[in-house]
Amino acid sequence: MFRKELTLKDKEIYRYMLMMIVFGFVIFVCCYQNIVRSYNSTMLALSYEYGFTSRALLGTIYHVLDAILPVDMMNYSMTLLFAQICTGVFFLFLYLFAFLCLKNCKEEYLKPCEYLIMFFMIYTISTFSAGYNFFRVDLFMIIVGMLCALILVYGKAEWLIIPLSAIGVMFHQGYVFMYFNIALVMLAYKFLSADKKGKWKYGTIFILSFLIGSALFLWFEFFSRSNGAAVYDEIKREAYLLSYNGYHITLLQHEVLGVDLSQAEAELHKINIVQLPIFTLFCMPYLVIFGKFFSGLIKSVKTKVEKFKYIIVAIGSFTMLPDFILKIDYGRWVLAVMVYYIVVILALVMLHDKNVEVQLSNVYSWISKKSWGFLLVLIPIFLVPLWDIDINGILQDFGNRLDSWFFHWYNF
Amino acid sequence: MKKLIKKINKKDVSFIFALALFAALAIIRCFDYTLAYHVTIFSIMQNYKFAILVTLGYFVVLFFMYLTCIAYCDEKQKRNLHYLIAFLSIFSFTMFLPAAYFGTTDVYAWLLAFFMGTLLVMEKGEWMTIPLSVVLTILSPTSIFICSCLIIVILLYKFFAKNDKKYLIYALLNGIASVLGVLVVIVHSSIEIDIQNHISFKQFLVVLVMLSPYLYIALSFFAGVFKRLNDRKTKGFLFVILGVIPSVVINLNIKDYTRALYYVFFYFISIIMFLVAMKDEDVSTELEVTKNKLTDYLPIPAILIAYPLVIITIWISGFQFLLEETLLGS
Repeated sequence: MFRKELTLKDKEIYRYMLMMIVFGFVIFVCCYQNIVRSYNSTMLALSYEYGFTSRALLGTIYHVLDAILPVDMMNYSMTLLFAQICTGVFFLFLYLFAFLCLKNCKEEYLKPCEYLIMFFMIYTISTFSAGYNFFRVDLFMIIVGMLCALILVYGKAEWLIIPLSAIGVMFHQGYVFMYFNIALVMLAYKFLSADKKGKWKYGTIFILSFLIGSALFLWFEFFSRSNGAAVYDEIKREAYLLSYNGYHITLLQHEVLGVDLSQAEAELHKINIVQLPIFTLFCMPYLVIFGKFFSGLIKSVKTKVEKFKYIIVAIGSFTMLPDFILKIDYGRWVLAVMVYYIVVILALVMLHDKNVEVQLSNVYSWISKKSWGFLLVLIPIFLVPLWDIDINGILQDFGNRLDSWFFHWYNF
Repeated sequence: MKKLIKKINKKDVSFIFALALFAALAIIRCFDYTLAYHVTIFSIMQNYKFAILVTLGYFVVLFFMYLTCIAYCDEKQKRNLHYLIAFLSIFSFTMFLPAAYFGTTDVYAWLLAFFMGTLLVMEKGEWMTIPLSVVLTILSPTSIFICSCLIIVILLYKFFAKNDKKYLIYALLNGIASVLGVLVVIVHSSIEIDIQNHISFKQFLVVLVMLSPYLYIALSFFAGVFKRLNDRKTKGFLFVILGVIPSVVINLNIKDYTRALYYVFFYFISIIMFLVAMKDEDVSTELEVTKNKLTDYLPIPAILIAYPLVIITIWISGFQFLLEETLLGS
């Protein structure tokens, strides 16, 4: 009776979503290894029943499910099933986010958003499908980050950012450096763009989120491991049951007993020092595009407030600096930086920020005129999936060879 | 050479330069630094440094072929040719770098085949394809089923398209020369087939299903070309279609599924590239029509090239391995 005629924009969006579902599925099939590494399964043994400790939210949820459901979840096959369900939900959320982005952006800016989303999908689907990071807790942090972005875009129940910030840190205290910047930068952006009443609202949410995130981080990092020795054996026993072939001893020693890993990790920084410059070289075309986009964006606005707003967006990823300096999981940090920029830029396009839209469109037009432009779509495929200490497989292999040919630096 | 350079503009140079960087990345990604044992006619072909030299030579010839095709094609077709070149490159850059195929005699065969194809595009020294066919099949006897077929069908197509008996004679002589090369090997030693079971039959089936959209695109492209051709050229194009069958049959029979798959793409993409470079109107027009249909339907047309690259780099040549978890106890 009443058939809604699909507009050209709708048809483009549905075709794009179908294309990305097929493409994403193929990436998943090629990357999936049907295994949960002991690092990721051992996390499920951590639970709040042993105290309000770091990284225990996921394990607590798992223990609650074990208590409620009529199945015994304390074995590896249930770990794998739970991981598959969570990863499936994560991918569905990615596609929902992509769909909402495209629906909310203006038709003339659809194409650059489509490319951004495609890069987002290539990196996230491959990284969280491959065995190395399958069921890594980072996917939950990304969900929290994207949820915060969507809440701020739609402007509904924005107070939820505060409990979501807590939830993000409870998944993993690294959230404060990795994905908390999405919410904080968006809040700062809205604060600077809002009228007086809005400034009060966003200022309050920003401060409360920041305080709660920081307080939880400090608690988890320095105070939460006081009775670890008493519960270590029990947690170890559960970790063994939940894992494929052994539990991850380093994770338990650090999270339960509070053993300091910085000495052990110091040597592994050499891997980062070798691999990061090479990765930067591989990503040079994207860095040039990034520089062009943000320099154009900042130059295009006249007032100091607007310039400050976009400078905050440009340097929002600097929250990752402590991780880059002190920790060694560069594969995860690189992913966090990419996710931040893509999610925030897409969110700003959804908010119909005219300057961002125009600048994105300008950069897109500039690239599409180049004869080599479409090759930029191909390069990320060589660089995925991302790992952790080794940024990815290509850099692990190439880095090892450079070391054996020239540096002779690695002692492990 | 100077004429060749004059026909290439700034955009072409920047495209080739970007492609060269892409090739460097492909080498870093896919090269295994391992020369496995392969059946070869000369012992030097089993030398690691020699194999590297030949592979680099293969890349040089590949780029020479690309530049020649770009220089000779119609200005309006350059963008399409760029896409074809990029599409061929994802297979041609990655095939001979993993240990399974690095240093195989196929590299020599494709190096020579691409060089011969370039001569046919330039329409200079076309007679050289005859002695080179002998060399090709001496170095790689089994490549008679793909590389020799590639050159012969191009010659046959040119005969039917231009109605020039010279090409029929060249095609026949190429066929005889190829067989002669194989006979030399048989007399000298015997033919051993270098089988690489790089992917299993199940993986092959999965890859076939994943690549099935390309079968649809190819069939609709070929159907479109046939509709445009006159009777003479139809016969020529039939040879083009049928020319891939020997390679597919042989490789499926010996269970070398990677070769069966890759060489279909090598064969058809390079033939279409050569025909576009030779300014074949029917193929060029149908290519433009197909491209327009694809760009109308696909929001990001470049995904047509990215899609098989995912399968090749992550799975076929990838770093994927089942992680071995060891018991980490006290």
